[in-house]
Amino acid sequence: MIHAELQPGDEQRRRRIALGALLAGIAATGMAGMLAGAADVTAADVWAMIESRLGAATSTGDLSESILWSIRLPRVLTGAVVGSALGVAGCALQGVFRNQMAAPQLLGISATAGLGAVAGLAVTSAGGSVWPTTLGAAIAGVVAAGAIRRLADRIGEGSQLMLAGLAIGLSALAWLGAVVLVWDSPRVPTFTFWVFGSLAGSTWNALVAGTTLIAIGIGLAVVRANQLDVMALGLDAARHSGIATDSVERQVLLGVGAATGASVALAGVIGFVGLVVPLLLRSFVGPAHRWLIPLSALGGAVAVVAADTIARTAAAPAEIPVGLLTAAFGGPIFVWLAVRTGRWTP
Amino acid sequence: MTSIIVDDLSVRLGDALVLDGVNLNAPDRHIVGIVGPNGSGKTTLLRVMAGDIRPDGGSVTIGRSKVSETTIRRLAELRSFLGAEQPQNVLFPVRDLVTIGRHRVPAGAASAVLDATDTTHLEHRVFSSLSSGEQQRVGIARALAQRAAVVLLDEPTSALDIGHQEMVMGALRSHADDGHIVVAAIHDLNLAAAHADWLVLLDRGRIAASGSPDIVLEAKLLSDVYRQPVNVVRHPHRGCPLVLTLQRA
Repeated sequence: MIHAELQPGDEQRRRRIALGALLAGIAATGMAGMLAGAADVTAADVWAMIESRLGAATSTGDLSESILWSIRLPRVLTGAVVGSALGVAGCALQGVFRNQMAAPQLLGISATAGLGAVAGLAVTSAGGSVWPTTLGAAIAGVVAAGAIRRLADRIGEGSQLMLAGLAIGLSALAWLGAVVLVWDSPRVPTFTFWVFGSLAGSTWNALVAGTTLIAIGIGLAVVRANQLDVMALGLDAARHSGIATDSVERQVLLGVGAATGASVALAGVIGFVGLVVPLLLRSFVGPAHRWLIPLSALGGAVAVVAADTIARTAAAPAEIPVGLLTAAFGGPIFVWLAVRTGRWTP
Repeated sequence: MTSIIVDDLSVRLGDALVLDGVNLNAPDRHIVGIVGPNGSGKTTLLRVMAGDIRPDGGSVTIGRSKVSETTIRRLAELRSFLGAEQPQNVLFPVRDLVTIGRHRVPAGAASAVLDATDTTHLEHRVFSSLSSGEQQRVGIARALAQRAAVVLLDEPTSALDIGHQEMVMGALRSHADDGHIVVAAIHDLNLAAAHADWLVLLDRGRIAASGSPDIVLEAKLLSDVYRQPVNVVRHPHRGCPLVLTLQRA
């Protein structure tokens, strides 16, 4: 709900509540992600694994330590990193386009990044470095974000831009589907991965590459937070206040493209996180980006880690695609927020 | 001492010559009113002065800086600008809006402009929840808070009741007296007559008259420019010109 009047200190109190709740949420979902699954693992096993990896204790060498270190921990961390990237990307896109419906999936950035990831995969030999895939996705993400900016110059930043982005995304998904069909190789992720995402194949190597680009992308948006606030008044008003809006937009969209692209290389296209998480947080803590961007990172991380933990345990031994869950719950939340808040587009 | 000098300005939009040979020289501590009928070029003149539109001929100079050659950051120190339309869907509370910008406006300065525009009681309200008149007053507070040498305002009183019109014009007078220049496009000729030191009357992109309100607000000239018969008498209390519209023949 958007509050017409805030009491002095109200926003500060809400920000602290959100920060505390999300940090607790990270700890809770992270631990749940480590403990849940087919292999029976206890909190003591998790602690023993951490001690052994930090060198504080000798490795037990048993199966639970191996499962925790090689499978569950990289999966939980990848979920957190991907969620952060999507949360920040959505928040920053909503700021740049002054349109609260903007999100990396809706604007076609995620699916275009998928094409870049496949291109990166094509130039890599089997079992080769993960960097070409990650970089390919990030570059395609940046190109898509830049193209959307150009498009906005011509058709405005309202509903028409969202529809154009949706069209770009659906077209890119169709091309991805064609590549998956034609290439027909076990090296290429399935079409479900590109539509609904998955954290099943998370590895330390991919996580390091993806995290590097995502950290840079989030950093590029964070340092422009105050300028994005002024741009909420419109580009002319921001320029009158001395903000070089073109350079802010370029930098933030570079960050959004890189972070979204790297997240797609890691986990495919996971929808609704980038749309709903910043929207929920904005309605609770207000529009100031210096808070909204970091909180969206935390909120995205909680959402994806929680969704993934449910996805791999709810129908075990089968695994539900994680994006299917985020869409199943994110869609109704989005509509509920739209009804409560009213008009969003410029 | 700052001044704003508009020198032989011309602006072409498509085939139309929107401004043609416009000159203006305003020293500090002055309120300059730009008046004229719809479509006479008032907003375009303000936007060229603000650096939003590059002129096809002539120049605008604030202090020693030519506006078209000045960086966005430096321009924000030279002028602030309030457009005629208020931004939509702004979820910031009023006080935040007044303080954010290139630099954060100090709390004391923000309180002063909120007081001057009668918006202190709105400081915790979300901008988009305000009435159009309240939004306009917040916009004026924001323009004044930037402490730029020149304040450019497009129709700053269009949504205000008569009490707030007088209050805002008083705030602009105090701001000018502090050593700034205020340039405002104003539709209400009597408001302009009462508060401006200098008027520029535009007619189809050209200056029809320029000078003190006593010189510019002349019945025959106004009737010709506005294509509306008017009579000009002396304001019984203020002593400035008072423009009375007459019934069309």
